[in-house]
Amino acid sequence: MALIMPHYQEQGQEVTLFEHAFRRQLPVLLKGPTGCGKTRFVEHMAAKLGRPLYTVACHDDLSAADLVGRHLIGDGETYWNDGPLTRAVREGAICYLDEVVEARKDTTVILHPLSDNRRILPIERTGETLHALPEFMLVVSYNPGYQNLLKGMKPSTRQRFVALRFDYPKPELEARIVAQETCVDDKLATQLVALANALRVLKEHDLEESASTRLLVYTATLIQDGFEPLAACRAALVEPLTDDSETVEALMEVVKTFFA
Amino acid sequence: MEEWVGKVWHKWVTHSVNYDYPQARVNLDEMRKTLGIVLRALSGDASLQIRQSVDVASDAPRSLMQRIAGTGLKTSAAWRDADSLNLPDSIAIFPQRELNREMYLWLTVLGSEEGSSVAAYGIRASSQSHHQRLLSAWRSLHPEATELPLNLIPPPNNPPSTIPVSLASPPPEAFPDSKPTATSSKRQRAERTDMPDGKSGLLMFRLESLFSWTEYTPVDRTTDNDDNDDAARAAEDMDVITVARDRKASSQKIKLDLDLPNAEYDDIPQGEGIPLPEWDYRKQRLLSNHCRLQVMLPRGAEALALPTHLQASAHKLRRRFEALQPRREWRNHQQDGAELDTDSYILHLTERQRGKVDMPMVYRDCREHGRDLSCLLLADFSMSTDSWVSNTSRVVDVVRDALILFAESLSATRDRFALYGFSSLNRQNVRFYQLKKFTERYDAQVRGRIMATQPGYYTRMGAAIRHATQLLEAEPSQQKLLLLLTDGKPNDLDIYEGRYGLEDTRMALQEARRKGLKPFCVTIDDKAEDYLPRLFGKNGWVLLKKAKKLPQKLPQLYALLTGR
Ligand SMILES: Nc1ncnc2c1ncn2[C@@H]1O[C@H](COP(=O)(O)OP(=O)(O)OP(=O)(O)O)[C@@H](O)[C@H]1O
Ligand SMILES: [Mg+2]
Repeated sequence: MALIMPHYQEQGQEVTLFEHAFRRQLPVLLKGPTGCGKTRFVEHMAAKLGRPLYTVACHDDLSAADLVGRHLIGDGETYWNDGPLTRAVREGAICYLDEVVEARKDTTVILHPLSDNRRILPIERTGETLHALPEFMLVVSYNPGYQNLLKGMKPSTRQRFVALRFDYPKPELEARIVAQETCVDDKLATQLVALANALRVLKEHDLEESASTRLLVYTATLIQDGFEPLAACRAALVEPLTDDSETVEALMEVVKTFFA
Repeated sequence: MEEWVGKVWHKWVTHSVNYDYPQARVNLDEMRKTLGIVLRALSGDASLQIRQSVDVASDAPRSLMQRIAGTGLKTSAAWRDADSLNLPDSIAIFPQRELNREMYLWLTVLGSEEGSSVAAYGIRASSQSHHQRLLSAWRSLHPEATELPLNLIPPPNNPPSTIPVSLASPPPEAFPDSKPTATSSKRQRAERTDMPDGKSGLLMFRLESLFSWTEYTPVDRTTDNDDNDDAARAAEDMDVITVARDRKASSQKIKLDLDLPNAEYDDIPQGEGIPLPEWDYRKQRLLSNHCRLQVMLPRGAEALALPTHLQASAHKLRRRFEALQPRREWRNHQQDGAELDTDSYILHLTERQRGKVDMPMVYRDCREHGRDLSCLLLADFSMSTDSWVSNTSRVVDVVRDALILFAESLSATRDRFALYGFSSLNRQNVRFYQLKKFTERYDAQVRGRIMATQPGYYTRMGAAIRHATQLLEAEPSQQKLLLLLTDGKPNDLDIYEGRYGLEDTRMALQEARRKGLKPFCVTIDDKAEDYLPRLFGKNGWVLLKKAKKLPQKLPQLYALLTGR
């Protein structure tokens, strides 16, 4: 269990909403681009509510067994080993499935009975059916966007969740986050956020992705540690956004207008 | 600072610029991409473009040309207007390339400040020093100088929006002069592209957008310069021009009724026409057999080698897509196989401990894992694709290149794909060009068909989508992607313009989704935000602001969409 509460800067009413959902046993879906604070938010809420947190990063090889559990070989015998989801159900913890659309289809079958009012987890391999403790909470996230067109979430899955949309915070908030996370001064934080917002304009036209809050925090960390600002921006803000060298140089020209 | 920028902005540069250092010349083309990114990022406006000022000047009305020539600024003018920053085609005022580059960047920083909000922070300070650096370099060459020789000038009369549209000029009494309207970007595109060669001026702009969309009327029909001749000649080229006018309506409508060519010149019909329904939103009813769609092969298609200008890109894309070949995938829990599947083996042991005796399914085997995906690419070949996106290519050229690179990329994978094009002339003539069937190989023949498909007529999207849906439905794959490539709204000569066409298209897409297809639209219409979200959903479409990028972008998009 987390002892210190990770700092989270609220953007709207998400903290209150989450508390209500927890109390009324409603599962929550977080949508939003990469690096905008979803994971941080869940960590913060778990600590605040005093529940353990099990986080699973989903990928296209993640199977139901990875969530529920499997038999392992022990001392000449096999024994059952709970997966993270099962553990959370038994302990009344928060289970956070990051990028849930990436997981294999058979996983959604398990999530359905858990995320409606039945709140049960049938374990096929042991023949058990678990009833979730009242403190158990299912939280999933995904990044909407056309990249996920084919994967998308089925309406029957999506409509089992209370949904919260995240986005990169407003400039003043984002600057405060960057400053708090890295101890850089407000001026530098504001400048970095202005730069990030300039780069975000380029999304989809010149770039496939937006500069995330996470990258801003990285950049500020490097600068705070004494690394030269232009080089820090190149390494932590520009290069991670594109592989095209001409675009990198063009973005650096933008950077230079902020850090001359 | 504010004031200082203002002064620069308003300062006319009246002396001519000498291109002193040809060996250090920097061309706009080398820097266009960089400058575009800087401009868009600093201005906060993702739609701004870099253009060459001389292009605009030569497109502009004569008076403007004279003004520019008269001030010796023909190739060195730089100004910002609503949708672009116009820069000289090259800069050679400094003996060092680096400084000439800096000069371009400086002009771009200046240009991005106009009306920008994002720029407010940070740029101002750095632009001051940027300017100082350039100015002192310039002063060391020309000690008497007080300012840089190149600066932004006020936009010369907004050239694009005041270019007269050349139209078939109607009898004067029937059409009193109308005032030029506030131009939509679409209109501007039309206007900029109207007169590259006198002969076919009429056909070269977006007839569809001008004529059949009431929201774009009234049309500016100022007739100065020598539009009359062009228009008359163009009118001769038409079989029939019907000019309709509705006095009661606030806007006037003009429609062109184009006859289909004689059968012996027209594209070659394949099989019988296919009857298709259409959704009438006013009656809230599907009208069965309302349309007739004819599958056709383009006439005059010959086997063609890969065009030279696409070879490098095709090679790169093929390499990239080959690398994405279907993965070999391990299947667990098999009766037989190359390796032991530990997980299943343990399960088997557990069951045995419990006294269950099953057939041991404890092996894993490696199989080629085909992606269970079929994609049908449906491209709009309506007349609007005959308009120009640059000095050298029309929309249709870009679309053809895109189809070819798409096919090059996909044939390097094992995904099943088909290519079709469409246009329409009333509900009885929906033309469906069969470029590559799912069952056909992509080869020289297919390329020939792509290149031989001619733009023409209108855009009855609903019918085309319904037939594409039928074709995809017959595919055995699990996942079915319907990719629509277009440059505008649905429309046709009859009622299909406006709401009716949009509602029918929306209905056709809903039907497709119900049948398990994933429709996705790639458009180059910068007005798409107004209607595509309602048709394709928020994440069901993308706008490519630079049409010229379409051929390169389309395969990338496909890779993104299908999770490669
Ligand atoms: N509201 C916030 N309060 C505090 N820190 C934040 C906030 N938003 C973002 N951050 C910072 O950004 C970093 C990245 O956020 P986080 O890891 O939560 O992103 P995410 O949305 O989960 O991204 P992904 O989808 O890639 O997993 C955090 O480590 C934190 O430093
Ligand atoms: Mg995360």
